[in-house]
Amino acid sequence: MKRNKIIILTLIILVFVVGGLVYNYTFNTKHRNISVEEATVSMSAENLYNHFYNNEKLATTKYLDKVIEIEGKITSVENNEIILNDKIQVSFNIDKMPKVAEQILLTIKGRCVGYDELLEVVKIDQATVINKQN
Amino acid sequence: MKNTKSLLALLLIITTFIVNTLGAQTKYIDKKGNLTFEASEELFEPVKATNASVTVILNTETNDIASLALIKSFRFKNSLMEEHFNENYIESETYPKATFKGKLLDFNFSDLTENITEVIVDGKIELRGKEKQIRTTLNTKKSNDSIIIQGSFTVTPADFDIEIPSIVKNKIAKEIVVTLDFKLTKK
Repeated sequence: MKRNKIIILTLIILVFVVGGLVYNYTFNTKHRNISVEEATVSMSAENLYNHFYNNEKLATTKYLDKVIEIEGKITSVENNEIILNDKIQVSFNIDKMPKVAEQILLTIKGRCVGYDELLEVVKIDQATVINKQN
Repeated sequence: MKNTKSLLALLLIITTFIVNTLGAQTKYIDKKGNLTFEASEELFEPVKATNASVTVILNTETNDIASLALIKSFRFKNSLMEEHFNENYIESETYPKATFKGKLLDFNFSDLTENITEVIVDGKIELRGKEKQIRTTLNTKKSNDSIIIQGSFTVTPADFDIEIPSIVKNKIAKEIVVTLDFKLTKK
């Protein structure tokens, strides 16, 4: 009799724990934090753009959603975005936007979200600055 | 003779320059447009995502309007939902973007004021290799030197051959409301 009670009690506790874990997984899984992820590949702005320009499909399978390190010259700065070599549009989270000027060389790390054929740019979001050179 | 030649060349350069600037003046662009879709059902977790870097180009001479949204830029509050949206529903690795190409009907840029003017837009959305005709009324107005365009329309998952598994069917609305908020500036 006592043993039965213990088994039932253990089962009830188990159900609650598993339920809690499932709930937590479903509703509270954190978004990726791109700034702490390692870049899978590193290349110049021109190079990344050419990959997409020459074969968008192949480049998409290779680089979409990947964290990429990109080096290029700043050609435009506005609000929370920077354009590298007129070809890569880099968006920063508002609090991560660096104070930089046009014409300087910059290396950033961010997530590749794809090729925009209207603007003819490759888009990067959630970027962080790796280093700043003059 | 040589002089005439160089004069002609100079004229050509000047004309090209003028034509280019004139042509460029009729284009209005937004690189950071907002597009939100919502397919929430009452009592269930909201199914809603926003893309804050939508490209929009409007040619005020021809009234042609084109827009492009990269699927990976849609952000959900729930990361698991975002993953399912990308992997199971839109398949963003195969179909990384949604585009719209259309025309503003009876739109006259020079008549645009600071007050809201209703304009009908007609065109096609392309998503997952499927096209869907869209016709809706947009609110447009001028703000300083920008054109503000706001509006909404509805689509269904079936329009783009998106199958919703029966297990989540009652948690996702049949009609998806898409709202847009663009601010275009002269380029």
